Amino acid sequence: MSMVQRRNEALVVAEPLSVQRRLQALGLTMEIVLNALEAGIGAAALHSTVNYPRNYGGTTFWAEVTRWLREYLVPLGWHRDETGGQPSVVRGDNGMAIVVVRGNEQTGDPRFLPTTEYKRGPVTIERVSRNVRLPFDDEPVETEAVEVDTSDGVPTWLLLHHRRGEELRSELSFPIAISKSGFVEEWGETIILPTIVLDPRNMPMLDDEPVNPDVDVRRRA
Amino acid sequence: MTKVLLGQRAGFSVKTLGDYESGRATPTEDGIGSIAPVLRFPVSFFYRPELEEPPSESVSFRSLSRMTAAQRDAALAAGALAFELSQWIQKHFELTVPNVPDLSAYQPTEAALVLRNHWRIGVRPIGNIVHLMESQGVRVFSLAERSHQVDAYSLWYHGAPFVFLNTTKTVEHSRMDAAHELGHLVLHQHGAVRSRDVENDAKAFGAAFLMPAESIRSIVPRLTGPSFSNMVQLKKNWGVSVAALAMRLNKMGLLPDHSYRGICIELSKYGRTREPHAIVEREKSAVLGKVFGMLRESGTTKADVAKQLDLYTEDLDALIFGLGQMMASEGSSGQVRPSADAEQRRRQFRVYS
Repeated sequence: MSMVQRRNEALVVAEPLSVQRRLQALGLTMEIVLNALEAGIGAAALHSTVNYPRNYGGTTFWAEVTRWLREYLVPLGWHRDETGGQPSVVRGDNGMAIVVVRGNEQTGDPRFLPTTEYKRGPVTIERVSRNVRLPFDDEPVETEAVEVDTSDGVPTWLLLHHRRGEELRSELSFPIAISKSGFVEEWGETIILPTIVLDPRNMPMLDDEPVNPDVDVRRRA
Repeated sequence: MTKVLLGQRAGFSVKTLGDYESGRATPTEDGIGSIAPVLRFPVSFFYRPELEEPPSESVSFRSLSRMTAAQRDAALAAGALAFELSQWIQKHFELTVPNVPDLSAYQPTEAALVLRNHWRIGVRPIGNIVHLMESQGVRVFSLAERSHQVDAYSLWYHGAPFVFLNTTKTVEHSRMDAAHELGHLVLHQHGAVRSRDVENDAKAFGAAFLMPAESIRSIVPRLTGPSFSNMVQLKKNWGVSVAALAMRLNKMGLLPDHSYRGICIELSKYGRTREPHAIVEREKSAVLGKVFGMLRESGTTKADVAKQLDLYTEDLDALIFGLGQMMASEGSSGQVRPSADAEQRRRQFRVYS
């Protein structure tokens, strides 16, 4: 793999209030995105005992985050899309699609440039190249006449996530370039999401002495 | 059991039974002799003064909505036997004076804290809730009628608080039942109108009593997505079921809705009657254990007590958590032990066992 590169800070939104504002401008809220990620963590945690196939936790996470983004966003006018077999959720005005993808270790770090964890397939490659051709204008359009075209011309964002130790790092990023080997490696914009601290493997126990009183019973004289 | 069935089994017409019931006619000794085994009571039982059965309005039942009137009546009848036993015990033993205050002025969760303060246990986890209640003068018996529909019930009787617990539930379930009934005893001492709200109050009380918010907050941060084993570990702190803990954490805002739902789905795989990593040892009455222990030491057998109360030892056992194990030699001496034949009949006729 190539050397870790520094990000262009001008393209990164990391300060919490700016993140809130930027997400709102895109028709999202921090709460929705974090809730969806937590739902994924919860579902994966319930399906990651050693007897499950090893990658099942990851698949569950991806499926549940996708699902919960849809659960929260569809009532707000977004819709589901599965074009090319790639599940996404698309804003009502077709101004933005979100795909859940695992990123590498740099994910969620405002200083360094992440890539996707895995090589991407033809659908992502197509979506990224379309992102480059599109005018970089992604705020919701308030018009009556919405172009109903779910596949072509929808700017695609990746919800990148990466679990590191006891933390889940994530960011919502706009991919604009893919390496020859198939990894997304350049981003037009990145919105850094707050780190989610995962539940400890061992839950805390109370120190307090449990109440176990003695019960007095005496025989009458 | 219905009158028709009793008539068939004992060889009487329904009309004759009706006459016996209303007092228009009195059964002969032979008549009682044929009715007694069908109803599974010793003949002497039918010659004793009438039992005082608690009026059903004054009783708080769990699972009331799923109960039939017959099930409720059977549970109440079992209660009547317990009062007799309790009176007998009081005659021979000194028990703790009830210290169960009227907290009807409080909200359920407040009441749980007030009671904890009143009993000077702060927010400590409760080891054995049956012993705790008994140490404060609550009379605790096991439910003689092994109906799965009746979880527990409680009532005040001659100034003493009584709680009946179903011993076929999981220990965690039973502990929550006990806390729930305790809620009725402090919140609804004046026989509140039975309604959904009353049950909800007791439910809220039970959860807050076993799992005080302060105790939970002292160790549980807001969870992001706990695994099932996380929940199993946590529940051990308070001796509650995963279901009860998950609901409490969710209500306290410490467990996100989707995680709560996920855990409920996982739990559904266990079914309603199984608890993952359940507590094995059932909580039993300390009072009854001591009473029957002391009796045995002085040579009084359980069968003797049953005889004095005109009961089968088996029915006595059902009320006292099977405590006070009989000595091997006692087995045959009690005339009140039903025969294999009676056991067979019991299986046929007892609707609730």
